[in-house]
Amino acid sequence: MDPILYGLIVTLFGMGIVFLVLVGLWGVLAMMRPIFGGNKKQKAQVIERNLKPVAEEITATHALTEEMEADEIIAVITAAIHACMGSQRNLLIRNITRVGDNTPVWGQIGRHEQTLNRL
Amino acid sequence: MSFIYEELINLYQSTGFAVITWQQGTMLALSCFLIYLALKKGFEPLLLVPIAFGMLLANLPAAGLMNGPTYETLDGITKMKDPGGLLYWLYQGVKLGIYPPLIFFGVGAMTDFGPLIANPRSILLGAAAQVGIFVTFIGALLLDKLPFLEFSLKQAGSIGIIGGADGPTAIFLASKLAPELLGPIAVAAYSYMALVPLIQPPIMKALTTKKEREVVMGQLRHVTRTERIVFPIMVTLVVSLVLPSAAVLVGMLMFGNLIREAVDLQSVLNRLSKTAQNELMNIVVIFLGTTVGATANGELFLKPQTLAIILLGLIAFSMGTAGGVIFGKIMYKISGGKVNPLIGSAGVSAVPMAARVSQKVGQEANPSNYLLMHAMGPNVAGVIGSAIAAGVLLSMLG
Repeated sequence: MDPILYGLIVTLFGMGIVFLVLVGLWGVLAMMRPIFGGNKKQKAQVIERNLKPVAEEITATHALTEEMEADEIIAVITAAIHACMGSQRNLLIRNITRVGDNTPVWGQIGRHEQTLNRL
Repeated sequence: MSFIYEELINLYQSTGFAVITWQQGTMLALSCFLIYLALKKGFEPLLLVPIAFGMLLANLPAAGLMNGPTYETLDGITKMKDPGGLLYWLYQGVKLGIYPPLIFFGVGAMTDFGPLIANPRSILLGAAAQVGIFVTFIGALLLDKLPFLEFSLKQAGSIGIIGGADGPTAIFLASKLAPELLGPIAVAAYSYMALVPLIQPPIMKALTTKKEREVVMGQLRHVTRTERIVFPIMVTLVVSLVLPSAAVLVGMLMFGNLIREAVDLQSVLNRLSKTAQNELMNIVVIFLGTTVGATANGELFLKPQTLAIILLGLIAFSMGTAGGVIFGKIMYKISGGKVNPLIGSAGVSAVPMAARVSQKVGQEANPSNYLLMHAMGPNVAGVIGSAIAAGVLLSMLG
């Protein structure tokens, strides 16, 4: 057989097999998610259950009663502090204040350049 | 007086100066230039230094470091006359296909396949970027029509694999199909891998619009530990059952990855994982680099074929990049603008250099865009893809 003709056949088969195997892997990965990826509903329930008492605790402090719309953010911050300091400690969140980004422009550019240098 | 003169002549004739050929001289100069590029310009120094020094050692006149053993038969008994050079014996690891799978083992232990598991469709970009391998394969066959060039099917396949942008895969396939071209193929593959940040961006920019490059992709989902552990086992089974010739590369890659991921379950495996990532990997890199460099023998290397391989390697890289980006554009259209086509270029293995290039070019268009983890998906898929392509070429041409 002419080498170029055979080369075209190899190319056709080659690309076909590469795509076929990788599409097969895609299928396997897609199947893996529902089996091994963890149950979404269960996770959501667990998070909800954990958040409720935290939110109640914050309400009891009477410090943030006017900002109830930020409940979820407060709950997340509290949970993060709990996780950092160990869950055994009794924590009382009295006040949460947003701190603006005070980094000057040159500082932001410096950070950006540092990130790019490490890429 | 004449006795001293004769001794001096004998001494001179036993030195390398008396027997050095112009090819050896050129190769020695070339190896010094490569060492300069690696040390001064930072071109893949981890690999280029061993390759260049191996090249230097193999081209030392009369040293015979790459000579095989010689035997003599006296009174019907065969005895070893000379055991051969050190590099000859180290080279057996390349010839027998031992080093490249060991490198894959280390690469697997160092690679995080999480981005690929989180976004499985990116695996298609890893497949599309392999088009460079096959386009170059056809290109090498077409060059056969020129009077001073001649590439057989096996040689063309070995040259094409440069487009996979994966050094160990290129060395593995070339050592099986065309060992005579191993030197130029390895040098071309590693040189272009070092030049990925220069080769890819112009192609990526030429094939995409600014709007496409600015696309911000959603955050990747969390990948569970079980998924990470099941993944290498699944990939090994699927790939090896479909394509047994790719089993050695993919199998070792996934074995390394399994050890890495299983450390969370059995901390004792940390010892194996660390060895695979560091000591073993470094030892094999030294052996592989030096012996691959040693195959660049002056008589074999300094031919028009080498120039053609260097040129074809560039075409292979460019076509692979273009294939990935074009497929990325198709995914951009299908997904309704959710996929940034720039991550397609990372489909040419070259981990993690190609993913970094996607990140850089993406950030040039939109400074707040972080594509790195999204590009790692096609990047690691490219490693699997090029190993599969090598398996196909090996089974069809071998």
